[in-house]
Amino acid sequence: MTLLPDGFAELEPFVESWAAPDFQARFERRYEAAMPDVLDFYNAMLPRAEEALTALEGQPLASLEGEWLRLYQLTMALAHAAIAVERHGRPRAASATYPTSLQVIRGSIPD
Amino acid sequence: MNLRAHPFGSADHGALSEGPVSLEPYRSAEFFELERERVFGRAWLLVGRVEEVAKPGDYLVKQVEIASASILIARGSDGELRAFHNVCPHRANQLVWDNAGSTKVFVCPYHSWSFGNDGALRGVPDREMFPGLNKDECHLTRVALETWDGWIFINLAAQPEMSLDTFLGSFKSYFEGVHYINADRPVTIETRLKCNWKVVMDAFAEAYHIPTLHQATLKTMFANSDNAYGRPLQTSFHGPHAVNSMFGNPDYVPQSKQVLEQLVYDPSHVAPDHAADIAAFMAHRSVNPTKTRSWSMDVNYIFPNTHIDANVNGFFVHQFWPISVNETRHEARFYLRTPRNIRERLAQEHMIAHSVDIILEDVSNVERTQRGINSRATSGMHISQSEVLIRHSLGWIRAWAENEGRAPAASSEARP
Repeated sequence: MTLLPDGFAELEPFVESWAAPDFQARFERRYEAAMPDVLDFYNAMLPRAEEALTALEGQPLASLEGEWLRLYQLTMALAHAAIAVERHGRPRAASATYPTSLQVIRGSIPD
Repeated sequence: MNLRAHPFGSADHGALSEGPVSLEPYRSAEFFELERERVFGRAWLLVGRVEEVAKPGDYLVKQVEIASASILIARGSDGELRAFHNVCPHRANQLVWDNAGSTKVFVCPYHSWSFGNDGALRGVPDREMFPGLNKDECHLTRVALETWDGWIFINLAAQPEMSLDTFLGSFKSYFEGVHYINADRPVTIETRLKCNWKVVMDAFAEAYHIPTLHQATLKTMFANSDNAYGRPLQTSFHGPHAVNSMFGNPDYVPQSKQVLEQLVYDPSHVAPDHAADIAAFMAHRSVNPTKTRSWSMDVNYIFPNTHIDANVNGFFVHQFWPISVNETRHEARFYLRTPRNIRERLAQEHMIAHSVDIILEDVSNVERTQRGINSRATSGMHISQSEVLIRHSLGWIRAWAENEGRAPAASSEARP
């Protein structure tokens, strides 16, 4: 079984850790990750971001499935990893305590 | 221009000469009881936007913990918007268990008593076993509801002391007519905190803390060498309501190493219809009221527990719902349009993730603050002109809480 659309095979090792179903899960994955893992994902995903966005532009955003849904979820996770890498240099904001009671009750669509 | 030599936005009032602000209202159980009865029990409380209940049958459920109340806001099949206690008149069970939806009939999950979306009793199973039951007495209990400019307000008093118009006072004309963008699509973030509700509210009322607490997340957006401490552009007061228009660094751009941030904030990806919406929003006289290029955001404080904020992305809302003297539910709502394509969706993911970091920085700190307050090491807070909204809101909360008679008039321009 292929996890990701053609041309994105080298990102498959990141699917298990980073292709999470919604904002809350992606936020928690990033907050709970170790920085070397965040960096590995960021460094692998960032150079492919433009291609991933272009490929996803050809798919129906509201009804993604299977390998396209996983590529979408990896792309969304890149936003979280980028904030850790590009802003904090650590998985979460320096003065934020975690775990937290914070919950996204209603997110953007699709998840 | 050296703004340090010319502090702008000197506050109308609230200077240090008025002395420290007492911390007792932040830790006193007795004061909390007064807030329950005299502030939240009689003020108009903002609970949402009409766009969230746009169609006949649409409903929302809002919790007002300090009043032990669950409020059902429903648009009837007749088009009228009403508020009820979310309580079945049969045995007082909670009638609606979800947060939002659309229906013609509410059916109590306990014994299937049913009600129209106008609150009238429709059906009672095995009615014969209730001889003498008066249907009119079994209407859902009404709660006062009024709307202004699309904002829904409720009032938990059996007879509100003043109309919403009177309550809003001069803020109404100040803020009327804003072009609210994507008002039907709130992204809602909720956090439960071990602190007094005013400690959280104060954390979102001033920009003085930003260069320190938000070093990595916001500092470069809210301060620069011209205004290193993010002094306000303008503060203004409308009875109990108030405005803090905040400085922003107009030259902020993502750094070259912020590769993804550059990609998601690329202005060429903003859809023309969205840009037109933003332009209409920004054109309002009270969004960036000084019309300064060096602007980041406005906090529009609606007494007692709401901020309607404005920035270049549109409007957003913070609410501070007291649970107990030491417990608060913070609710942030960002209004984002249904993304038209994957790039818009990614920009939203980045924006929400960034907002969550900022909220977490603020709310992580409030529990530390509350521990300091509870230690009684200090009796008061030293409030700067940059933090004048804190002095203002607490002054009005105290005026309502300590006034046994009628609430102070909203038209009064002087802070109590």
